Amino acid sequence: MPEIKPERIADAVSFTAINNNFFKTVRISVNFVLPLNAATAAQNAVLPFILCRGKDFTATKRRLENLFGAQLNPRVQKVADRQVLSIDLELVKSEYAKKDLLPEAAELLCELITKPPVRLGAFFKKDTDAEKQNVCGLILAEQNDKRALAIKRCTAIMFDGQPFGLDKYGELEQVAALDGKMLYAAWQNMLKTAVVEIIFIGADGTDEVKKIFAKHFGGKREPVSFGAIETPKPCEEYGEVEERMNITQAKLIMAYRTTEILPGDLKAFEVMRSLFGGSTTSKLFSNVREKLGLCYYCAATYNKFLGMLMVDSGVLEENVPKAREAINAQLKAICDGDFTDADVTDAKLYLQNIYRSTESSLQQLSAYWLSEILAGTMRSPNKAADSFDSVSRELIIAAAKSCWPDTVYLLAGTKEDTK
Amino acid sequence: MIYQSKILNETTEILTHRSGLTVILCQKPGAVSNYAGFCAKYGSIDTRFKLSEDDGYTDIVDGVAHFLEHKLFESEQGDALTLFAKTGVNANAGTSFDKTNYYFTATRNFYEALRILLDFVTHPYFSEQTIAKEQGIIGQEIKMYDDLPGWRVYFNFLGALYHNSAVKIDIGGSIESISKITPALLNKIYSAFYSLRNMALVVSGDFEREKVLSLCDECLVFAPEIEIVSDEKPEPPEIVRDFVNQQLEVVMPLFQCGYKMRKPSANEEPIYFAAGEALCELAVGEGSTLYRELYDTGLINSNFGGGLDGSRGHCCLIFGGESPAPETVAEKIKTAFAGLFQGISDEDFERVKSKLCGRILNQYNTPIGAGRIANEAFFSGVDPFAHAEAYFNLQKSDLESLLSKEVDYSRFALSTVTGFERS
Repeated sequence: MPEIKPERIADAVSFTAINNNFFKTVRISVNFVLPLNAATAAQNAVLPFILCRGKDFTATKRRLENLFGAQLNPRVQKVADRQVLSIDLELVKSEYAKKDLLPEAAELLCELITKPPVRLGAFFKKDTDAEKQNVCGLILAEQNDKRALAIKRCTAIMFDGQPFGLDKYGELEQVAALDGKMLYAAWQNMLKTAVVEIIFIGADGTDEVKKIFAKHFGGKREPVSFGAIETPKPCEEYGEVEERMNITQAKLIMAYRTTEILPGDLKAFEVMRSLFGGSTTSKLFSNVREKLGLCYYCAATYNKFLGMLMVDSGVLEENVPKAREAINAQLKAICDGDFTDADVTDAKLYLQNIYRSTESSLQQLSAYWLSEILAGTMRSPNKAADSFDSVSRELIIAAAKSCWPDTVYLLAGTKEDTK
Repeated sequence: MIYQSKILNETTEILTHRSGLTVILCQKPGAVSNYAGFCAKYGSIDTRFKLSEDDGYTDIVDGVAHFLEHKLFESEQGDALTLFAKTGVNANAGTSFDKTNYYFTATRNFYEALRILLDFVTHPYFSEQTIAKEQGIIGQEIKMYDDLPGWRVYFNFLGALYHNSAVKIDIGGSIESISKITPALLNKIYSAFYSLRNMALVVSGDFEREKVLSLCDECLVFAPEIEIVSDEKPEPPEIVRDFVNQQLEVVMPLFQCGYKMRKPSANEEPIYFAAGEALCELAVGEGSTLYRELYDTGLINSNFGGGLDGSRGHCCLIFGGESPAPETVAEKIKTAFAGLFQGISDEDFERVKSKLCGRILNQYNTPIGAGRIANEAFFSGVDPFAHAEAYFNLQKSDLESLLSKEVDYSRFALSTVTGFERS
C-alpha cells in the first residue's frame, strides 16, 4: 500500500486520500479542529448540526435521499484538549447508483459548510432555535446511559478546570443561551481559524473531490497553531468520589494516570492494557468476571492523548470493595511480572486483530486515520499492528508500574433503595 | 446452490454438508477480515417444545437461550475464549429473539479459529458448579439492563403489543428464572435445538471454499433428522394496551411507539418488510414534513429513528428516541400515517426507495453484514438476496397495499420511560 499522507490544499487545510475500492460506498469526512475551551465549546458544538440543515432542512434531506440515500452525519468529538467538529458524508459508488454521484455530493457538502443561510451577520432564529434544542436534547440523553455517564463524570472530576475535563458539547445552560449572532461568529471563526482535516476513502474521483474542496477552502485563513498534544501531568492527590442516583447496579470507575516510560512508548501501554483488561482472556475478564463472578463487564481502556488508563465495571454495591481489591490486584500482578509469555502473545494477537480490522469498516478506517493525523504518527493499521511485536515483557511491566491511582468514582443507588 | 445478485454484486452459495448442517458461503474478494457465524435457530421466544418422539412438551424458563449461550463457551478442558485467544480473533456470541449466534471476525488465523468454533459449539459441557458461577455473572448483566432506559422502553413497548409472544420477555430472563436452570434442562434443550439440522454455518469474506468444507468434514458428526414441535400460543392481532410508562433515573423521557403488524409468511416477507420500511420513511423519515416539524419544535432530537422490526415471533413498525412530550409525538405519527391514505406521490415514493436501496447496499459493505443478511434469509426460508433485492423491486402499489390492509390504528401503542417524580 502506498504511504498515506495528508496533502496541503489550502492554508491549514489538508486532504488525506485513502485509496480503497472494496466498499460499496465512499466516504468524505470533513473535520474542523479547534481548541476546546469553556467559552467556545457550546457555540462550536451546534455548528455541525446547523450547517447540515442547508438552505432548507427538508429540501437538503430529500436531496440526499435522492442521491441513493447519501448519509450526512454531523458529529462533535473531544480529542484531549481539542474539539473536533465533523461532518461525514457516505454515498453509494457509481457502479451501483448507475451514475456518478460524487461530484454533486462533494459540492453539496462544501456548500453546506461554506454557504449556510445567514442574514445580517446571524443564522436565522428558527434554525438556531431548532439546533440548540437538538444539542440540549443530546446532552440530556447522554445522562440517561449510566455507564457512559459514570465515565464522563469521572473524566470531568479528574480534569476539573482543564480543557480535558470539559463536555464536548459544552454546558447545557451555555447552549441554551446561544443566539444566531453568536453562532455566526463561531462559524466565521471555524472557517478562518480551524485546522481542517479532510479524509476521503474511495478509489475513483479522488482528484475531482480534492479540487472541489480546494476551490471552496482556498481563501485567506488565520489558522490556529497547535503544538503536539501534551499529556496532562498526573495530580499528586488521589481522590475518591461517590455520587448517588436511583439505579439498580453500581458503576465503578477506577482511573489511573500514566507517566511516559520511554519516548514513543505508547505501544507498551496498549499491550499492557490489552493484557490487563482488553480481551476476553485479560486479567480483569478472567479473574474479576469469570473467576470471582463479580460483574458482567469489567474492562480497561487507554487514552493515548491523556495518558489515562480507566477501568469501568458494573457491580452490586456490596461487592464494590471486593471489586476494587480485585482490580488493583490484577494491575499489581502485571507490575510483579505475574503473567506468562503466552499471555503476552495472546494480548498482542488480540490488539493486532483489532488494528488490522479497522480496514474492514469505512467508519473505523476514517476514525483511525483522523486519530493518526492528530497524533502526527501516520502509521497504517498494519504497520501499527506489526509494531506491537517488539514490545518486551520488561516494557509491559514498566508501563504497569508507571500507572498511578488517580480517581475512584462510584455511581451507586440512593441509600433507601439499596437497603 | 449458487445465488448471484447483479444488483448487489454479491455471490452466495448454500449447501447441505453431509453432517446435515446448512453451510452458507458469501464470497467477498478483497475482504480484509473474514466472518464466521455458527448459528442455532433457537432464541428467547422458543419457550415450549417437544421432539417427535417425546410424550409431552418441555417448558423452557425465561432466559435459558441466553444462559446456554454463555455456558457453551466452557468445556471440561477450559474455556473456548482461551483457545480463540491463541488465534487473536475477535470472538463473541449473541442471543436474539429467534436465534443464537456464535461468531468471530479474523484478519489472520481464520481456519484455526473456524476449527475452534465448530468444535466448541458441538461439544457442550454443563455442570452444577459452572452454572452457579454463571448465574452470578448473568445476574449482573440483567441488572445492567434494568438500568438501561433504552432497553426497558423497548421491552415495555413489546409488552404493550404482545399477549402471548415471548418477545415481550427480556432475552436474559430474570434472576429468579435463571436460578431454576439445571444441567439436565440445558442438555435437553441443547440436544434438540443445537442439532446440526437446526443450525447454519455462515462464512463470509475472502476465503478458500474447500478449506472451509474440509474443516466441516473433520469437525462435524452426522446428525439424524429431527423434528422440533413448538407449542406457542397463537398471538391475537389486537394489542394488550395502548400506553405503558416506567419511571427510571432519566433526565429526558424516552419513548417507543408504533403499530403491531401481522407476521407475514416467508414468501411475503421480503416485499412486506421493504414496504413497511418505506412507509415509515414516508411518514416520519428525515425527508418528511413531520420529521422537520418534530425536530424544529424540539419534540425529537437527532437520535430519533424508526423502521420495521421483525423476528420469527413478531412484526411491528416502531419509532423511538427521546422527547419532552412523547404523547404528542405519538399522536403526530398516527396522523402522518392517516395522511398517507390521501395518496403517495411518485416523487416521494422514488425518493424513499432510493434511500432504502442505498442503505441496504451499505449493509453489504462488510463480510459480517453480508453474512448476517444471508443467515436471516435462510432462517426465514427465502433466497439469500430476497430481502435486499426487494428494495430495488419495490412498487408504489406494495406500499399502498400494506398501508390499507395491514396498518391498523387500533394497534398502535406508546411506551415511555420518564424520570422519578421528585417531591
